[in-house]
Amino acid sequence: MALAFTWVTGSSGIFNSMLAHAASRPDAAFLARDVDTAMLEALGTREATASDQIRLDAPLQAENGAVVPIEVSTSLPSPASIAVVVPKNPTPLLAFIETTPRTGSYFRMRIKMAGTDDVMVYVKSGGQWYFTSQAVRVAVGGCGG
Amino acid sequence: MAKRRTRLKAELTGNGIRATCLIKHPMETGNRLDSDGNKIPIHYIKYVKFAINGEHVGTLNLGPGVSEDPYLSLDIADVKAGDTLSLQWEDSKGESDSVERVVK
Repeated sequence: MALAFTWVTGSSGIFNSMLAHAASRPDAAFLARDVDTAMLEALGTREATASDQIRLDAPLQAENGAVVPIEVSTSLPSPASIAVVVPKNPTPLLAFIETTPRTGSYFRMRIKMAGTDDVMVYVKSGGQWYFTSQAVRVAVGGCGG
Repeated sequence: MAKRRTRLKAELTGNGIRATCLIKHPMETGNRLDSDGNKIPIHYIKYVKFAINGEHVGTLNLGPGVSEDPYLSLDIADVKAGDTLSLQWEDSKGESDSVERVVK
């Protein structure tokens, strides 16, 4: 009985800490249908500085906009948040990563692109937003409708 | 709910791991039509959280613009063989899954 009790309290502790993190998800930004609203909701600002300390690898041309692989690494000190934005997509904010001191240096994912557009990656470091971008030519859009 | 939808692997890098997951999920944008011309409802994974030995290390918040069957990697520093990597996700309909791997 005592064992079971310990296990229950232990796991609910982990669960609570996960819930606490869920609260900071920028929900309004993900639903925003224009890039200005999405960015203001996610970043809190539209001001960002171009940086060569963010490296974005994406294909120059994508046959299928439904699956465009991107790879991002940064040498900016202690990246706190990272946002992936495709301005002309129906919902321009694709991903928003909340990091800790142990994460943020590298991630990769596959994204949808409605058409030829820039992939924008924003990284917050030292309270400031930095960005890099890459144009991707898309043969067939991948957002449907 | 019982069916296994999430694959997770951890590769040791210099001072940590590269965690990679593949999640079986439609990631519907809400913009697509089915064969009868009806809108397919929006349905997407809202977040994927990573933890090492129970300690939260990062959250990937996703929108419907992430491709079907999300394939994601994240580097996590200060991880060694024997540590436990865990992942938990939840989608816009409240479905969720979690998996654990011991780093080898």
